[in-house]
Amino acid sequence: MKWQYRPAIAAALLTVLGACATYSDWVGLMEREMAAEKPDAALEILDKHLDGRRDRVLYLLNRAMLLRMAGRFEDSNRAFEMAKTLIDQLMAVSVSEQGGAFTVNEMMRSYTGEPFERIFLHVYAALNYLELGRPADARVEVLQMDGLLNGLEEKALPGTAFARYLSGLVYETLGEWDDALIDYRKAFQAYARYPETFHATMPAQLKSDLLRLTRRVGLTEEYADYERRWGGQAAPAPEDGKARGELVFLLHSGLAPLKFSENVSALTPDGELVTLSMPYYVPRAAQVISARLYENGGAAATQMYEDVGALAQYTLERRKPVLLARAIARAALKHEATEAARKQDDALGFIVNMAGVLSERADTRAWTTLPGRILLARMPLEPGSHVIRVELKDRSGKAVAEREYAFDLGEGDKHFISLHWVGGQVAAEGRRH
Amino acid sequence: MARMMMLVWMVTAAMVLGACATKVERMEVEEVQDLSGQWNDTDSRLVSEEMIADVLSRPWRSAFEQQNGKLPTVIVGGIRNLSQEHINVNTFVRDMERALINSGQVSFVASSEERGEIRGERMDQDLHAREDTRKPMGQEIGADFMLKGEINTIIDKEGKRQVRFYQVDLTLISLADNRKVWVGQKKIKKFVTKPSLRP
Repeated sequence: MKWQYRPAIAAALLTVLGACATYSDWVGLMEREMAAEKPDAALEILDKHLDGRRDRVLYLLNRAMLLRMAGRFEDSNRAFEMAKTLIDQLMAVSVSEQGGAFTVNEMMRSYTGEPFERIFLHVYAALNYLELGRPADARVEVLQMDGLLNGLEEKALPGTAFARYLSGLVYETLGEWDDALIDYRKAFQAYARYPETFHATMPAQLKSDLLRLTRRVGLTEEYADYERRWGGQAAPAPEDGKARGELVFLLHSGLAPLKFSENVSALTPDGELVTLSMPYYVPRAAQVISARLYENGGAAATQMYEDVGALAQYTLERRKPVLLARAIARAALKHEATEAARKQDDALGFIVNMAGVLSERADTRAWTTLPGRILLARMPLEPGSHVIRVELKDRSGKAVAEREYAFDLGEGDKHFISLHWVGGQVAAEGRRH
Repeated sequence: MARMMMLVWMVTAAMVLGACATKVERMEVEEVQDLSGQWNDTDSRLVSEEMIADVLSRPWRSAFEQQNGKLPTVIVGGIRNLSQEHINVNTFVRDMERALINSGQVSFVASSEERGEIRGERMDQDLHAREDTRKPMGQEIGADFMLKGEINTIIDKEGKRQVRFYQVDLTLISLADNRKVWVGQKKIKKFVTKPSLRP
């Protein structure tokens, strides 16, 4: 090969790398099984493919989610606990991985999850406990999450309002009204701070929860203030006499966005290729965007509580300057290496340059079995046996699917039901990019 | 020379293989081995030691015996975990139960979770067991006291350092009149420093 072809080879590489995605085929297969509501089959695919030493946390998070979808809540929480321990250990900076991340690429680092993913770890562990009928254990998760959320809120990062709302719900289930009110208030503040792109505006349910609890605790001034604010909008706060029970239905719709690597390359005058890689998210539209619950005459509708996709994108945007600085530093190091090699031999210089370019890749790992959006409905019910029919609706309001749930409700109890609906096209949509 | 080489190979192989095998070291139960700073066996043991010593040395038992002319009967109620960890409270509750029963001065009745199975068995006996071995229903002993409690934590954190404070409170409540006859308390405080570097 003659070395004058070098720029041509480099240019060819450039076009190939431009749209390089690390979205592997097995993820598509796994998601198709999830969409077909076969979490066990999805789990098998995950077990077979995601086994990297540095991807252990990612594996555990995905595994826990799939186990949860399969209704194996205790196994799911075991995986979450393992992930927690591991994240805790990985929080110490690794000397060798840091070196790799500075010289090769960001994937050399052990995955510890985005800050919002670490919050969702506790959210789903708490939901597992709630669905197992163990609210006291869910309370432990809420307390652990509280520390993380405070840390995020100090840095003015959105602290996922839904996590706060769920905390309030756990306290309310345990009859700890003061603590419930505190977290509902924090959820209210978090929703108020959410940028418009988040789609999740303050749920009307939260307004009536705040009205109900301030009245119950006896904070008359705060109650009057909320009443003035939402007098007309919020449903009249229902009496929460101990006798009535409640169904809390959660719909986890779609899948969290996929992360891709975008390369920006330039050819220097002396034929050296310089590449910077940055990650970006591709949000995925959820098929089902609302649900309606029916029981002989009574009905309730879900409200949107969290747009995970928007949250992920926002978090990444906030982190971009740091990632860019690191990518530039890495490019400078790779350039130094190329120069040093070229001084010895021109061909060697080219090889080092290409190795540097080929290894440059943004960290595209993400907890993609998380849902794209979280919806919730609360339905007060009399104690006794119930059969609830749930209708899932798409964007046009057409019913896509129906589910039926039978359960017994004790006096003053809360019954939690979760439905994960991945939806048909989601997996396919991701593959197109 | 060849034999020498052979020996070197064998020693090397033994060293390599030795490094692969799982290593088990037996420990005394009393030995303190703190790994993560979270609640562990040592904390549970400290709590049960403190509680047992306290509950056996207080006058609630003799007072009850004098008044009623019989040994007090205790039932284990709920121990609420209000801490930030999933703590297994059974370890020290069982320790206490054992110490109290073995002291011969207190008897325990099965807790509300345990007795379901016993009642099921009794019901089954009613149908299937020989009459002279059948245990009648309605003969259970009502407890005089209920053991209740809670675990609380306060965690103060700054960067890699944290202070973990645990407080375990146990209370014996008289079922006849809601009197609290004994309150036991154990506080544990730990200072944990997390590593900032790893290999």
